[in-house]
Parts: sequence; C-alpha cells; structure tokens
Amino acid sequence: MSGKGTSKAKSKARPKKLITPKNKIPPPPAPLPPSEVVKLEPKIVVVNETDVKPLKPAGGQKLSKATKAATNKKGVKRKVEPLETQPPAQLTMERRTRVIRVPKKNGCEHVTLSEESGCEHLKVYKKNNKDSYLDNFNIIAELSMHWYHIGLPAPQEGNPNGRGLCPQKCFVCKTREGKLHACIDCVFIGCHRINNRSHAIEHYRSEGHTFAVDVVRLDLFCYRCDDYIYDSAFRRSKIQQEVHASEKESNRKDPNSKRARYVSWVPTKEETEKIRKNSTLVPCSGLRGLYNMGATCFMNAVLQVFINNPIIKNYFMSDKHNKALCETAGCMCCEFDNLFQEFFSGETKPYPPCSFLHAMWLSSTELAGYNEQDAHEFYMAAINKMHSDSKEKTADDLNKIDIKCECIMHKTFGGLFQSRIKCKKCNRVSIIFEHLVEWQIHLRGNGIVKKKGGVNGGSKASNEVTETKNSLFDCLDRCTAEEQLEGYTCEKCHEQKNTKRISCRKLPPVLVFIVERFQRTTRTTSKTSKNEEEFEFPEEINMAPWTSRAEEVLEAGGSLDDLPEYKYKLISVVNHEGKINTGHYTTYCKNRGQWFLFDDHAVKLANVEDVLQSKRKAYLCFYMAETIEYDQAQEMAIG
Amino acid sequence: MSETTENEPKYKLYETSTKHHLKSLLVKKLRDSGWTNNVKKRCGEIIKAEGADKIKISQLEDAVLSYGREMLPEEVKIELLQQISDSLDSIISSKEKT
Repeated sequence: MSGKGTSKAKSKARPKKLITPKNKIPPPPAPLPPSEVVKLEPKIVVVNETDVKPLKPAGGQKLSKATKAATNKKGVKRKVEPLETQPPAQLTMERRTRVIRVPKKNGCEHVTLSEESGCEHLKVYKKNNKDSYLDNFNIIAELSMHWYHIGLPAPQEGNPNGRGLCPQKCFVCKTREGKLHACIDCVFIGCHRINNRSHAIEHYRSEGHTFAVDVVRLDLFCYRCDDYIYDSAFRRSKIQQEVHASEKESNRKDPNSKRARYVSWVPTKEETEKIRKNSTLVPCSGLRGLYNMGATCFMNAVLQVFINNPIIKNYFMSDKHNKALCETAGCMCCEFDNLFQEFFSGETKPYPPCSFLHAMWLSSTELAGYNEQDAHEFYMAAINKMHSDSKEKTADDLNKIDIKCECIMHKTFGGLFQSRIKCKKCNRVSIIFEHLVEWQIHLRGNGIVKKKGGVNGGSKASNEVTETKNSLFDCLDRCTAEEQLEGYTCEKCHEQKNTKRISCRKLPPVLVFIVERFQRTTRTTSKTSKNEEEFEFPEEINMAPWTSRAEEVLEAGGSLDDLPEYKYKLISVVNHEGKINTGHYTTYCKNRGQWFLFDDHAVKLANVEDVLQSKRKAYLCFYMAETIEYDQAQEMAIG
Repeated sequence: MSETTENEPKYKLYETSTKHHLKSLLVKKLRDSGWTNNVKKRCGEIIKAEGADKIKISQLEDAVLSYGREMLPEEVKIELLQQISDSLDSIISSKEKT
C-alpha cells in the first residue's frame, strides 16, 4: 500500500524552507524515567488520629470590648473585631502532621508541622480576620529576622549590636531584658514577666489585644490562655520568613560567588494589581488553519488531529526527529517536523502544506491527485509512511508490526486486540492477537451491518426504524459480545460450533474509533451509501469493561468493580458532511483545554456541547488516556 | 524601673559587647557542666506530671527556676562573677581615664 517514498527525480527534491521560525520555542524536556523524578509535593503523613484531652477552658475572664480602631505597622487603620466571651469548650483535636520541605543553604530540611490550630480564641480571631490575620505577623517576623537573626556577625568592640541591627526595648520601660512581646494588633512592644512586672500584660488589659508574638522566637502568645500556643499557619509563616531571610543572608555573605542565590519573591497586593493592569496576553501559538489545496480537506482534517495530539506534538517539539539531520528523501517525519515548526512559528495566518502534500503524493500514489479522498485512508497511509520513515521502528515489514514497535505512530495509536475462540464441546481456547491502530465501530440501523468473520444478516428494509441506540457504549458492547463463529472447526474435536469474543488486550494511549459509515444498500449490488445514523459518543469513557482483563474477570465470576479504571477523554473528532462521493471534512480538536473547530483555513472557538452534537457527522473519534505510563513494563499492563 | 542612662555601667557592658560575650560564656559553661541537660530533663518531668496540654509556660518557668538555681554548679558561679567584676573594673578604670 505504501512503500518508502522514493523521489522520481535523481536530485534530492528537498523542499526549501518556507518561513524561518521567529520565536523558536524551546522544546519541552524529555520525561524522566520514574526513578529519577523528584517528588516536590509535601508528603502528608497521617499519624494516629487520636482524641487529645480537652483544653482547660479559659476560666471566666471578662474581656474588655476592644472597639477602638487600631493602626498596624504600616500606618493603615485596621479594625480589631471584639472577641465574644466563649463558653468553656470541650475541644478534641485531631492530631495530624505534615512534612514540608524547607530549602536551606545546604540542601533541604524536612520539617514536621503539626496541623493543630491553636486555641479557641485564635479560631475566633482567624474567623474575624479571615484574610489578614497573618499580615501583621509577617511584618513582625520580617523585622525580627532583621533585628535578631540576620545581617551582621557576632558583637564586637565598637559594634555591640552585631547579630541583628537593633534589639528592641519595651515601649514603656525601655528595658531590653527578658522577653519582649510584640502585639499583633497594634504597634506595641512590651516586656513580659521580667522581675514580676509585665507591660505587655498591662497592654492586653487596657487594649484587649489578645495575641502577641515573642520578638526573638516568634512564638504566639495568647493572653486569655496565658500561654504560648502553637498554630501551624503561624509556624509555617515563620519558617517562610526564616528561609527568606537566610536566602538574602547568603547572597550578602558571599558577594564573590558567580551566581546570586535565588531569593523567592511573593508580590504584594499593589504589585499584583500593577502587573495585572500592565501586562498584555501573548497570543497562543500552535493554532493555524490549513489552506485547502484542492479537495485536500481530508488531509487537513487528519493533520489537525495529529498536530493537536499532545504525544505527537511532544515528540516533534523535543526534536526527536530533526529534519536538518535526517537524510531520507521524502521523509514524512521531516514533513511533520516542518509542520510543527510552521505552526509554532508565531504566525497566525493559515499555512499551505505544499511540501507535505508533495511528499504524501509520492508515497501514497492512490491518494495522489486532486480527487476527494477518504480521511480514514489518509490516516492509515500517514501512519504507515511515518512508520517506514521513522528511525525507531522495530520491523520493516508492515505485516510484522507488533506491539513493541517504537515508532511514534505505533506507540501512540497502536493497540493489541485479541480474538478468543472457544470450542463449545471441548472448551479449547485459542487466542489470536492483532495489532491495530483503530477500533472499528459498526452502527446498527438501516442497511446491512457487516460483522467481522463473515457477512451476517439479511438486508433490512430501509424504512424500518429500529430502536437500537448507537452510542459508543452500545457499539462496544455489541463488538465485544460473544458471537457464533461460522466456518471454523475446532482443531481438537472438529466441532463446528465455536464462539468468538473480541476484546482489547492492550489499550493504546490514543484510542481511535472509526465509525463505519460506508454500507451497501443491498447485498447484491456494489453501491455504497452513507449511513447517517446518529452516533452518540461521550466526552469521557472508562474502557475497562471492554478489555481482555475484564473478560477474564467476568468469566471467573468476578465483577467489573474490581477492575482499575482506564479513563479516556475525547480530544478530537473528524466530521464528514455530504454524500459518499463528495463532501467536506471538518475537525474539532481540544488544544490545551479549549475546543476549536478547524475548517480548512478557518479556526474558530467551539464548545464541547457543539462537539458532542455532531452525532450524524462524526466519522473518526480520538480519545486519549487520562494517565499515560512511561514505564514500559507498566505500559504492558494496561488492558 | 528607671531607664538605663548612657553612663551607667550596665549600658557600658552592653555597648562594649562585653555583655554578649559574658552571656555566651555563661551559656557555654552551663552546657559543658551538664546543667542544661538536667534542667531540660526536669522540664520534661514537670510537663509529664501536669499533662502536656494543661501546663502553662508561667507554671513551668516558676517550677524550674528554683530547681535551676539549686543545681547551678559552684565553679560556674564563681567564674562568671569573677569575669563580671573584671569587666566592670575595666569599664570603671576606662571611665576614670576619660
């Protein structure tokens, strides 16, 4: 059907580069094998969810109402919500721990945070100041780093401050001794329990600000509980500040280092607004129409499917096949490489795929010329040609392709199907494997339905309307149902009665359903007509029930619930409008989560509802697996 | 308490960073003599006795304060007091010079 593309002319007819790509997008990094992938997500370790003894209730302390507006450190007025007197609460806390990875100077440290959330007073406070309860704390923490933890070396003669720039004093008595508490609701630092006095506690009594922070250690103190309390949000914030400070510190300490250490930056609210106002969106690339070069809509439709397919896109964008290095003449992989370059060049005008057309004509002469062709035939031709031209293929002979072929097309579309023939008498089972790049769907309705293994059934009157629905589920059920096999003799017992079941042994990453819309009107004539029955296909489908494993499980008496889910999501649909001999192909493709309608040179936004509504027109449906395994061994386990 | 003025020896101690040195010296000596570990253990015992969620920092501080004072090794006390008086002497003598 398709052989290696040999150029007829003696000289290499290499197409000239049409457009130089302006913004060459760097190829995405090749995926790492699983053992090398570093897990960066925080590990959540659930430890003994036990009920902790209830907290001592804050014994009947009446709180003075704090309704005065307070100013925070930046001079912005903040209202402090009054705390209602709480009835003594019986608290049970679930103990959960969370391990976070804190980057430090030499590698990282794993810090275990307990997910407890302070006392009941803190809960009320958090509720009242939902988004801003950490704001002042962050400011204090940052200042504390500056005052006590970063910056200068140990105190020396002439530089008594040393480590940190200015240790703080109590606002009232100016002492530096003992512990100093910084109020988080207003600008106040007071001494805490030094020699039986505490200006910080007096501040609480007069102002009613329940919480304060130790300026050196950044521990949160609750005056109503009269104790330091642990809160994971505050602790996490403290760690962030520590990390940030150490980053800045290491930059300052080693000015001779060639590379400044990365200091993380979180934009403030004003900065976020500024960024949002002054930025312009970059137009998306990878979307271009394809000019119709003369009844080439069949080619354009399938090409758009290939180009918007993430696996094929990744293959070419990671430079796996570089047309500058490839020496095969008329190589279709080079043509695809060229196509991707064009599509991601930043140009949004439609592209005329001349060189691709030329290469295709040379390789598949049956599709050459300006006649209207079938999209499915083109799909098959493209796959075979890509296989022949690819460097990774494992078999040259097209009849000997097996599931282990490494060429990109077979890796993406190739699935393994099995036919299981069982003898009714002696129960002998024979299995035949078939490597296919598509799954043919036969609609039931008007006309003859061709079944695999022989033509079955008489011609139905075209006026008969059957109630059988043609959804993908029904079609798959029918396809994989047990059927009587004609014309087959059991090898062991020569029994004529055998049953056959088809199922999918290994699901391909991209599953292609071909809806058979060709049918003969009568058994005797060779006229074909188009079956315009509605074919209902879902956006998402779990392929588990039609795999070989499911077949085995059901035969053994198990249930389908025990099977893992093999979820597939719709990514492309090729529609055909018109008659058998003449018509027009269009495609719906999902590009980065957004559906588009590709009609030759016109690319339009589309809704998923429109896609699903193209029931009468759907011809090729492409589904992609939700999770794709990288590991070969795991790959073979699918289905 | 009154504010510490610029001329008081206490401030001088701080200013010349002697205070910081003395403090570091004290911490080091206490750790070396094993006092720090003892106090830590005592804290643990007190917390276990009262219950980790019932105890307050003030209770802990008071309970441990007397214990710590008792357990303070004599040599550490003597050496530190010696150092402090030496530093103060040098401050006073430098003041007298100016």
